Parts: sequence; structure tokens; C-alpha cells
Amino acid sequence: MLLRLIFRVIVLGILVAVAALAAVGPRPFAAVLPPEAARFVESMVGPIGLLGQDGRVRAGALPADFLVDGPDGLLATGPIAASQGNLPVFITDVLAGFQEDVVGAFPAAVTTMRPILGCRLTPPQPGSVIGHVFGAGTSRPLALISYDDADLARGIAEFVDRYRKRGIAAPVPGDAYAFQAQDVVVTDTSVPVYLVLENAGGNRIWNIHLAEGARLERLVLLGGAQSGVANLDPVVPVEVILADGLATCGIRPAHPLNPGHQLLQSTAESDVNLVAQHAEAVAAYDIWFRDSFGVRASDSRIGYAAGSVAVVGPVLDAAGAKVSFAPILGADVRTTQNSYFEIVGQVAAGQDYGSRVMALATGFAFGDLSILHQGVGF
Amino acid sequence: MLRFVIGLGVLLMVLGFGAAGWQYWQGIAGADRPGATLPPVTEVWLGTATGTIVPAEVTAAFLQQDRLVPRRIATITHVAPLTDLLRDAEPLPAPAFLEVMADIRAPLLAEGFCPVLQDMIAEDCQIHSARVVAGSVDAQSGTAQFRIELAYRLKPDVADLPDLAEQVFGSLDVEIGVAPEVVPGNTAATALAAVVEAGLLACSADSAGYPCRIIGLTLDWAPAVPFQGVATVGWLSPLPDGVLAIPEIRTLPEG
Repeated sequence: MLLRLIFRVIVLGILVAVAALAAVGPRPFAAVLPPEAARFVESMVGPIGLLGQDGRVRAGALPADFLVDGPDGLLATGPIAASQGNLPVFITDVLAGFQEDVVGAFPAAVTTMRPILGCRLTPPQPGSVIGHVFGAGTSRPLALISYDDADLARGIAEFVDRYRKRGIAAPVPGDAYAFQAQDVVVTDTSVPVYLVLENAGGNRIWNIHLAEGARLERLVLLGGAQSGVANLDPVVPVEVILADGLATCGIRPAHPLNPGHQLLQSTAESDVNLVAQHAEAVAAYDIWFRDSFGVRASDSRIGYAAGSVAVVGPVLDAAGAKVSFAPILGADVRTTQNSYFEIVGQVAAGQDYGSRVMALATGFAFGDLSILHQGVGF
Repeated sequence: MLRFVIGLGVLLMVLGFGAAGWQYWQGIAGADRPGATLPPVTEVWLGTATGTIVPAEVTAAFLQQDRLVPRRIATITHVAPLTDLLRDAEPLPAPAFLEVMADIRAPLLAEGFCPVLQDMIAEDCQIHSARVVAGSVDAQSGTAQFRIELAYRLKPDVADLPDLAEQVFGSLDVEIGVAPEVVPGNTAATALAAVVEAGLLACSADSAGYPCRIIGLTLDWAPAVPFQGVATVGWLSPLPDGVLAIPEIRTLPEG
């Protein structure tokens, strides 16, 4: 009897907790859960209860409610953009017609850019403003893919592993090499803006949205495997140093850790040492950044570890004019490219990433994948 | 809210059924798939002269000569030129593909080792695995390191084993390190033969009992450097004087 009662209490408790989580989101749990657990729940479930059925933000919700101080960085878990001082604002307050899903946004033309030779970038003109945007999100893949032989080799290794485990010749998707869309809204119209767009990794297309009257002096694309821009006036010069170029130049991008970062939460000696090393790397990067652009990277950074919109310049009040969203669909894209470049769905049969991987693997196996089998039946 | 609860329920169901289906599929596929690992089947326990129990997999490697068992393996790590993997004047692929090509074609390099074992000790020999060692491709020298595992059964040695309750198990790791010029031909195959020979020599020593069997081999070979090898031999010998056989331990009947 007592056991049954305890069981019912436990089940009821779980149901109440789930219902509360679904109804009001994770925030109320922050008071009762340890901070690490609260952050984990929040980073997992996101802003449940802050969005209505139609996806709109509920009245009373603040942009900060959607920003999670997570173990891997600051995470935008809702419709927010990073702005000056890395403060969150609602995307709808700065951008009209924002399109989250860009997988079907095929550009009209793609032009190839090349990284600069050497390590020295053109400095900004006196009086211009530096807009330093950081992009790390991987939630908005475009239908553009670029990869090289090393990426194909990784795909072959994955294909072989799968075949050995399952005995099925399943195509390996090339999703990992898709360009991610990252939107940059420039609202500063007072002086020319010198944009430094820092790609934390992978392939990225920076989609530029200019307010009426905003002028761009120059774009610098830093880091990442490949980087490009969309909706940029062709007369605006672009300089690129990709991740491998930065490494060659001895430049290691590093940014201050957020308070909830796992390294700062840990007391392990190895992690404490890593934090100290990271602080040194941040200081070194700040010096290079200041010498190159006149501002420190840690002071100027706009952008989160997850999130795909950043605002350079003032944010108007909710009733003010918004910048119109410039779609990538039909736009001109300038980008660096790897050995292979694909527009998904528009490549000849057998020329896509998965087909290339399978053809190479089959060729290496002399046309007979059965040689991939390993293991004796004991 | 209602959608969320229903969605969560459906998601959990999909996950649950998916996991169950996956396990079921794995079970079916695993039964037919070469390389599926089943636990060694042995109900016999061997003891050592010091009174310890021999691990079941070692016992299986020594006794079960009617089948291949996971512990009776010849492990050969050797450095080979990548051109050995090519056919018909085929060129080497681009450097980025060398490792995956070597991994896929590694079984080709394993083909020469089973005949060595079959000539000397093995009734049956099969390639259990043949892989390139990750990160070992040297594009400059055009070589890579390969790890090959052969499972083998020994040729029949005795018609009937002695009463195992009256025997103890002994084993020895025979280690050899040989300069390349000592081994005729100086190939990985001849080095493997030398390791097997060392094991056979250990078995013929007075200190070894009978039957004496090679229950494991390892070889680490590279051209122009001394190779290292280990032959693990095991044997049976009569219980030492004054030691009694342990009676079979049975569980008590219920109640």
C-alpha cells in the first residue's frame, strides 16, 4: 500500500515537472536546480513557453530570455540577434522579412574569390567604424557545398566503417561541408563601416543587409574552411584569410569565455591550466586584432556560439524602421571555394559528394566492396 | 502545449521502437555476418601449478582446435610499401587518399602470411582483420604500417588428451628480437616463420610439457631494422607430487 503511494507520488511529481517545464520553460527551475543542471536543461530544451503556437514571441518575453550561458558558449536559442556589446535584440526589431530556412535559397551567380597572399590586411580608414561579427552557427545550411580531397577521404573512411558494421553501401551525405548562412545587418549610417567577419569554423556565407544610407568601406573575412558574402555591392573590396592562412600567419583566434563555460565551471587542474592558456591566447589575439583594425577583438565581438544574425550599429526602437531582409535566393555570391563546389540538386549524376565517395571507395576495392568485410566467425 | 506532449510521446515511441528494431536487426545481421564475435564455448577449466585458474579464453585457445577462437591469433604489425597494393601499373592516388586506399586494400598484404602458418603449424588459417594503422602513412617514403590479425587452428598433435583433472597448464612467452640480416630473405613472412620456429623450439625443450601448442603469435616488423616477435606457447604437464586434483564444484540443489 505504502509502496503504491510512493510510486504514485513519484509519477505525479514527474508529470507536474514535465508540465511545468512545457508551460513556463526552464527559467523557474533555475531557482531550485544547481546552476550547471539549470544551464544544461536550458541549453537542451531552449525557450519553451516563450514562443506562441505561431512561433511569435510571447508578450513580456525579453531577448535575454533566449540567450543561454551554456557550457560551450553563449547560445541564441530563439529569434534573437547579437548587437553592439554582444547584447541580444529581437531579429524582428532590426530586420523585416527575415527568412530562417535558406536551404532552398539558390543564388543567381557564384563568383570565386581567393584568399590574400601573406598576412597583412588593408587597415581601416581613419574615422570609419569597425563592425566585428563572429559566426559559429551551423543551423542554417545552404544548398552550397564545397570540399576537397581530404574531405572526400573522410567520407570514404566513414563509408567503409558503415559498410563493415552494417554490410550496406549507404551514401555518405556531404552536409558537413555545406555553407552556413550568417546574416549581418548594418544599421550604422553615420560613417563608413569596415566589417571584420570572423568565421569560427566550416564553410560560411555572410549575407549582408544594409540600412538605407549605410556604406561599407571594406570586408575582411577571417577564418573558417571557406568563406563568402552575399548581397554585397561588387565595388566593395573583400579580403580573405581562411583558417589555414591564419595558422600560417601564426594568428590563433580566441575570445573570452562566458561565465557558464565548462572550463570555468571546472576545478580540475588540467582545466585550470587550459583556462590560463586560453587567457594568454585571447590576449595575443587582442593585440593582433588591435594592430590590424584599431580595436580589441574581445571588446568588439558581436555574435554567439550558436546564432546566425548580428547587428552592426544602433538598434532602433520597436516602432522604428527596419532593414529589409536581402534574400540569398537570386543573389550574387562571392566566395572562396575548395577543390569541389556543388549546388545541391544541380550537379550531374555521379558528381555529388556521396556519389564521388562511393565511386572512390569502390575503385579502391577493385570494384568489389566485399573485400571490406573484416572478421572471422568464431 | 498539447502538441508538445503528443509530440514528445511520439518521439519517445519512435526512439524506443527504433532502438529495439536496431538491436533486433543487429542480432540478425550479426549472426550471419563474418566477424560476429561469439563467446568461447568451453566448459573445461584448467589450473596452473601454482593453483590459479587459467582464463577461459586461454583454455579455449589451447584446447579447442576444432574451431577458430578469438584468443588464438597471430598479430602482425609491419611496414610495407604502398605500391604493393597496386595492380596493373596503377598509379598511387593523391596523397589525401593514401590512408583510405591502404585501409581498404590491406587484406591484400595479409594473403602471404597464412601460407607460412599452414606450412608450419596451422591446419586452417583465416584473415581476421587487416587494417592500416591510423596516421602511419608516410607519403615521402611511400609506406604505411599495417596491422594484420590471423585466426588459426593447429594441426592435430595428439589423438587423445590426457585426463585434464590430472594435468596443470603451463605457458611461456618466447620473445625474440632479430637483426634483419639474420633472417633469410628479410621479409615479414620469413620473420613470422622465425617467430613460429622459436615457439616450436620452446615446445621441444625439456621444461615444456606435452602436448605443447602455440596459442598466440605477435610480430612487429619493418624493413632494415631488427624485428620483435613473441610466440606464446602453452602445454599440459602432470600435477606436481602432493597436489590433488580439485573436485568438480557443483551448486547445491534447491532446498
